[in-house]
Amino acid sequence: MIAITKRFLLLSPLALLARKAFAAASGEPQDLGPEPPVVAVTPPPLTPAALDAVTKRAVEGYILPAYQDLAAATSKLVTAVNAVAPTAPGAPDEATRAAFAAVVAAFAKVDFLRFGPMAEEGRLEKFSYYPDRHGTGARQLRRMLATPDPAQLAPGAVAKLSAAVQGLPALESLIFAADSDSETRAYRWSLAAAIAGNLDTIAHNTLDGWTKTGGWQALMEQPGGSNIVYRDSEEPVIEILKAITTGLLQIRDQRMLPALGENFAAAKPNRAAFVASGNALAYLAASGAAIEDIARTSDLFSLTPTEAPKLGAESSAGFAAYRAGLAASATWQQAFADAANYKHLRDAFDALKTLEDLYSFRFPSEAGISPGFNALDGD
Amino acid sequence: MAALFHRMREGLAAVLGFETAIGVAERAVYLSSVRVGPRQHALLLIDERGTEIGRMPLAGRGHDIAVDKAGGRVAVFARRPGYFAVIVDGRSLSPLATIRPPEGHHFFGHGAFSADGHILYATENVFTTEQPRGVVGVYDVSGDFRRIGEFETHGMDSHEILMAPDGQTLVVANGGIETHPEFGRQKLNVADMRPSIVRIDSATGDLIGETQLDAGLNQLSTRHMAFDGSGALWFGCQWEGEKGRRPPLVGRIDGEGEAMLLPFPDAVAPLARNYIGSVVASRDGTAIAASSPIGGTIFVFDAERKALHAAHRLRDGCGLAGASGEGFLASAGDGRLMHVAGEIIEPITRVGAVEFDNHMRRIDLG
Repeated sequence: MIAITKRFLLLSPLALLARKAFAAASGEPQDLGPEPPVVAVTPPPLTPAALDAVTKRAVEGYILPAYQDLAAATSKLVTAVNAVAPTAPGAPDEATRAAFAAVVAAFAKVDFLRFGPMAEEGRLEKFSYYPDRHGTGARQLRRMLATPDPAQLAPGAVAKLSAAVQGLPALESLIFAADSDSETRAYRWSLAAAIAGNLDTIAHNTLDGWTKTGGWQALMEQPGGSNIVYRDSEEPVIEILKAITTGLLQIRDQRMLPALGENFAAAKPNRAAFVASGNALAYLAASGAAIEDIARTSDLFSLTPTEAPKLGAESSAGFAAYRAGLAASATWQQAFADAANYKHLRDAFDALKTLEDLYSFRFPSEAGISPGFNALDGD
Repeated sequence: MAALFHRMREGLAAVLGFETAIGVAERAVYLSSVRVGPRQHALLLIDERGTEIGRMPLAGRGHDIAVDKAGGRVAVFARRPGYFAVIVDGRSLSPLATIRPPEGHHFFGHGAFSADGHILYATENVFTTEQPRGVVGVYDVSGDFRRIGEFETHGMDSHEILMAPDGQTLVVANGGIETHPEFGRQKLNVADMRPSIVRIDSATGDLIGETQLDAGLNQLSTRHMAFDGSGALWFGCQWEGEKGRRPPLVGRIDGEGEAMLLPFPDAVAPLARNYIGSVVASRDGTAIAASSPIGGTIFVFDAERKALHAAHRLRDGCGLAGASGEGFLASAGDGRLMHVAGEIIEPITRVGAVEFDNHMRRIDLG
């Protein structure tokens, strides 16, 4: 029946319909579907040039530098871990701590970009398997440490393991908890070096996926025509906007909420990411800064020139409130020390809600962009 | 009983200040959850031309709407993780009651009434256990709107639930994705998913049958369904695996429980972006429509030929409901309402200042 179906389709107008749907602004007339006869409030139409400019600024001014930073940071981490691994210390030295923190900060710049090469081949999950609600990574690491296997240290071997033990959380667990486990310390560090190498491979493969001929940069900067990923100039901008809105939601619901719980009494601070290495607060701060950075660098609000000053000011105020909430405590543990400190975290949490409304509703309405109410976070 | 409903309706309307008593004549109307502003959601009632008949504010984002054909009522469910479902009089759009899942459960956004309208079945996530599991919450909505039991769904992420044409069998799509409210909407087990579609005896909760796809399609989350005129069950999926793959997203289960997948041709497959958001049968049962809001495409299948008939572009189009004959109404996130029939798609209107949510339902008010 399927074969018959395919033959039927080849003979049907479907191929034509598909081509029409792929048609883009450049060259071919664009079929955006029938236009509605009644429109409530219509902002001035966005030009492909204005949209393309936002995409170009986002890609070349933010995204590519962010992935370059990540690749550079993972290379430094490899150097740092390899340098110290032979001595297998009980705690990481300062250089390794700094290199690890730099990778966490660089990762925060890209982990809200849930599209492109990092979203392929499970790279995002392999780079940082989080949240790990069932402690899969810890369980698998315990098993691996109980029966050390030199084969797992061979080049490329880590990439074949479960995603839960391939990335940052596993590396953090290995080197920041080494003190408690003198028997396996040497293997821990060897495995940590292998994982650092894996992170470096992922980061460089991702960067290559962006910059190679016909890579993701080209897909975003040359929408339309035979480009089936981005069919017109608006779609790459929507991708960027979607990254911003889902990034805000990700920080709030998936990074903060598991730790904050419903209230102070129900808080579980150790559920946050990168607590063991002391990077929890820095990671959250860098995550917020990253989203603000891509919005600013792309000059997204240029798509609604009359409203840009107001939206820009509100965005700045929102991110400032988020930063202030996080900065109120010197450490993650201190942020949960009492209800007053905890409230500052809640304030940061609430600031994200305001920013979500700004980017997911007000800005698209003002700019006349249709990010897709359902397409943003369907069900 | 009718007097009780009337008193409750009037009482709730008075307390909550809803604008109701719209006075719908005998005709077909359409219902959808909508967003009307930042964090402002409503249940919208429109006619086939998209003219608003009424709206009722919702406490949060709504999702699907179960229709009680016998009683002229509907139940609008909160989107997952959801904690309310409002039973509403379909004619006046006045709320009759709000039901809530028990502690440690949340709704998945879908429900189905029994044929006589006395029972409402709701898919729920039980998240107090180490491994969340799906159940069907059973609510008596004939009197005091209380939960009277639950059935196992034998899976997790139990999404859409339908009452089969026999009026006895419940069909549940277990999406297979583990979620927990403490982690928002984060998918926690994509590598270990095991979706299924199960048939459950609505009287006893007994498992009658289970359909699973091939193991290579474990990451194909089965989520939405519709029965065609022959009684076959059509289902739409969302692919959680490797993004470079284009697995089939729509399938059909025959009376024996055997699934047949209908792969899109290569030229069409990318349009779906590996995501189907709604599946609905035409009123004459000869056509099935499946929407991909992410891909901005409405797919129309010939149910009798078991073949794709047409693909229409509709950006952020997701809501679907049967219109007349083989036709459908399709709604989009930007408020557009379209008429779709076979190879034809025509604009009806754009409802101002409204963003249609994923699902739309038709009710025929006699």
